[in-house]
Amino acid sequence: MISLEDKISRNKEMFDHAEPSDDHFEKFGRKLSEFNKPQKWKFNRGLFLKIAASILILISISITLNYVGKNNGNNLFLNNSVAEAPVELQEIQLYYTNLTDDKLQQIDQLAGSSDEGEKIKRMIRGEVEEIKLNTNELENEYVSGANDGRTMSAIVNNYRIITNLLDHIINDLNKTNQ
Amino acid sequence: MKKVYKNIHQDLIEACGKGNQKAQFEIYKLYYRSMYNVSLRIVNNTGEAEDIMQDSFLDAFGQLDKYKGTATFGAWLKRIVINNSLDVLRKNANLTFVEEYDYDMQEELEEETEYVDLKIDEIRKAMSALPDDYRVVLTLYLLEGYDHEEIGEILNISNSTSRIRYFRGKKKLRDILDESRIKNLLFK
Repeated sequence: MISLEDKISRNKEMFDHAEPSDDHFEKFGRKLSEFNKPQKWKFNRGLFLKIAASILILISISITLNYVGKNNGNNLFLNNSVAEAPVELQEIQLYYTNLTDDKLQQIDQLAGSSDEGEKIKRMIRGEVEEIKLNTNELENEYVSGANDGRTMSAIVNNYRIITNLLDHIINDLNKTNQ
Repeated sequence: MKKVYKNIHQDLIEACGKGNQKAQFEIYKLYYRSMYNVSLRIVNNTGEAEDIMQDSFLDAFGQLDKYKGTATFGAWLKRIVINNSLDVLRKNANLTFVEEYDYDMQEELEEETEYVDLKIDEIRKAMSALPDDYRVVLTLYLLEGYDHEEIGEILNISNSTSRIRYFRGKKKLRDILDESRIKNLLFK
């Protein structure tokens, strides 16, 4: 006597009878090409969150600096010009501005043009601009405040914070593209 | 120590991991039919089965670094297809596999019909007419070769629940087959 179980088990291969649609090879070929398309930025939720965390730190720094800046802002140099700034300040400004621009360019290239990449670039540029504005206020304060050494330290510190955080983001993006 | 399988198509598999599209297509050609049928038996819908099968290949290519060779590549791929098919089935049919405790041992002993003349096509049709939860367990056990412990792990149920579902599913399958045979006799 042949049980139903035996009948099925002995004829397993006959159960693989069905075929996908006629154009399944073409359809898969298209999916495969899309899958293998070189992407500078493949969305990776974990890394996106890490980058987002770095940006959040950047945001919180810019908010804090803004707050501190506004509270100390009684004698701010309002015309925003540091043309007549001392040479040491101009050198620091030039050095860190070039460094920040280089890093932002690297981020632009690494993040690519996907939706997530564009989102990240916009957020970073926005926050860097905020911190730069605050730094400008400090610079003006330095010029008008008899070249106070503590203000200069705060300026350098701001620039360093920006470059360190941009380095973090570049590292994360490099990992994503590996 | 776990056995490490050396696959017949090891070179192709390694090339797939390096993003070689030609090798990926070759692997697809080798496995598409069986993977499509695995998915079809679970989701019971040709369009969905095709999408699941193709997407599962891409899933596999994307995570080949996780394939450690402790099962054959085909078995590893099949598990991806099964998991993806179950996800779709759960989403579409709101399917849940609940634990079962009420079981009469007599159910296991009820099999007296002779099935020599039965055509495979009839069984296939009857299986596709089964409720989803019975069809899935029967398919995984009889055709995909998993034991109840493995089925329990796949469906997140105990192995005794898998066993109960299996025997009830088999009984239901026999009922469908008997009904269809009677209909055939009557309308011949």
